[in-house]
Amino acid sequence: MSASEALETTKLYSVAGMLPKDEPLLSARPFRSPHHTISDAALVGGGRIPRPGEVSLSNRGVLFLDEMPEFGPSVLEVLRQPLEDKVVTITRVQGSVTFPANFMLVGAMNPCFCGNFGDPRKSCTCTPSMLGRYKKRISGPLFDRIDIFVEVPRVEYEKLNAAPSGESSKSVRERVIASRRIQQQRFAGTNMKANADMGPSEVWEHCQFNEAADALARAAMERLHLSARAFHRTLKLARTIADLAGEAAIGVAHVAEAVQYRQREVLV
Amino acid sequence: MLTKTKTCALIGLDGVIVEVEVDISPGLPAFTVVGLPDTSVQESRERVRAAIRNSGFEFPMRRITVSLAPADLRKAGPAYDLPIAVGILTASGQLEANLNNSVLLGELSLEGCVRHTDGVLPMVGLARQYGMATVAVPAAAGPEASLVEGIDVLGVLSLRQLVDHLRGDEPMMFAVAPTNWGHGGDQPYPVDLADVRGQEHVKRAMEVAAAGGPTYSCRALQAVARPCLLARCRRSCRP
Repeated sequence: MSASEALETTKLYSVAGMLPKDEPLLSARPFRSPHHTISDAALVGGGRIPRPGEVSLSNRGVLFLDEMPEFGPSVLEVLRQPLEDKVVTITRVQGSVTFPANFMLVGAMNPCFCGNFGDPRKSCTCTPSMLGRYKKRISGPLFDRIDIFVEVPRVEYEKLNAAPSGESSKSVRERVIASRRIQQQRFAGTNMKANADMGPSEVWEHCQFNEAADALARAAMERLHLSARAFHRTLKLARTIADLAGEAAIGVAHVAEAVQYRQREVLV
Repeated sequence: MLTKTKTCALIGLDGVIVEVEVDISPGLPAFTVVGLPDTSVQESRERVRAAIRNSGFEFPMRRITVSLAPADLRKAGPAYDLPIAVGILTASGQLEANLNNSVLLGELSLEGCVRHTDGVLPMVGLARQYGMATVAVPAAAGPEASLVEGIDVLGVLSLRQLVDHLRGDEPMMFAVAPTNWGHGGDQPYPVDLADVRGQEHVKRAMEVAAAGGPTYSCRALQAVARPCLLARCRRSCRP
C-alpha cells in the first residue's frame, strides 16, 4: 500500500479500536472474511455513534464473502453503495457519517443447493425451481457490479498428484506490480490509483481500441445484453489485461479475455 | 476559578475540537459534567476523582462543574478523563500550565495511569488540522499518534507524569514515528501459488483482479480449492 492508503486504513482501524499494538501503521492490505450470519450494521458500519463496518475495515484490501447466497438478502444489497461510490454513508438521528470503503469484493458460492450443477461426473439433484431460487438469492444489480466470474471445477487426479508446476507467487506479484506501475504513470497527477478508479471520461480516453477489437466488443455487448455499467467495467478490465501484457493498445485478445470473465449466464 | 483544556470528539473520521471548561466554586461538594455526555463520560467523574487522589493530588471538596463545548454534540467514550483531570488540577491551583495550544486525550485508571482509547490517530490528525502544537496521548497510542507530522506528541503513562512534565519538573521526550513500518509487502509467502495444482484460469483471474485495483470483484463457482487459493491470493496480490 502507498503511505496515504496505509494512513487512511489505519485511521479506520484506530476508530474501530482494532489497531494491533505492535503495528501502529498497517502496511499490509487488509483481508476480511466475515461469517455469513453478519448483520447489515456490522457489514457497512453502524451504532448510535457510527463505527466502521467490515466494508471499511477491508478498505484498500479484500472483502471475502464465502458462501455468498447464504448471506441475508438485505445484507448483500447494502453493498451496492460502497461498491459503486467507494465510500459508505451511514445516517443516524444524530447526523450522517461517511467512511471510506474502497475494497475488492471476492465472493464464493456453490453452483446450486447440492453443489453438483455443471459437474461432468456427478449429477445435480436439484429441481429447476430450486436452481432458480438459489440463483435469485443474489440480485441482478449486485451481479452487475461483479466484473470477473470464474468457475472452479473439480481437479483431476493426475493434476492433483503431480509435481507443482504452476508459477510462483513471486513472479505473479512482479507482473502485477509492473502493471500497477503502468497505471500509476497513466494516472499521474490525478487522485486515481488503478484502472478500476476510472470514470466514464477516463474510460473514453484510455480504453480506445482497434477495429477488430471494436467489432468483438460490439458483438459481446449485443450478445450478452451488457448494461452500460457492465460494458464500461469490461472495457476497464480489457485495459488491465493489456497493461499486464505490457501493451499500450488494447487488442482483440485482451477484449476477448475481459468478455469471457463476464459470462455468468453460462454458469448459473 | 475557571480553566479550559482541549480535547477531540470524533464524528466518523472527522471531528471537532472540544473545549473542556472546569469551574470550581464555593458550595457543597459536587461534581457535574454537562454538554451531552453519555454514560461513559458521566462515569469519568468516578475515575477522575480516584485518579487525582491516587496520584498524590488533592481532589477539591467544592462545587465542580465541567462543561464540554460545543454543547449540542453528543460526547462518548473515555478519552475525556485526562482533560477533565488536568482541568480540575489547574482550576484548583495545583498546576500552572498554558494549555491553549494542547490537546489532551486518554482514559484514566483509578490509580492514575493513562489507558489506551480508540481513534487516537484521527484525533491527532484533527488537532494538527486545527493548528495545535502539542497533543498528549496514552503512551500505548504514542507510535500511532506520532504518524501525524507537524505536531508534537507526548506519550503519557500516568497523570502524575504529565503533571510533572507540565510543571517542568521532569520534562518528557516527544514520541517519534516508528521506522519499522511499510514492509508488509516484503514478507515471505506462507503458501505459494505454485503449490496450487491445476486451476490455471482461476489464478489468472486473480492476477487480473489484483492488477486492476481494489474494485474488481470476482466470484468463484464450486470453489474446490477456494480457501487455499484465496490465502495465496492475499499474499501474492499485494502491489
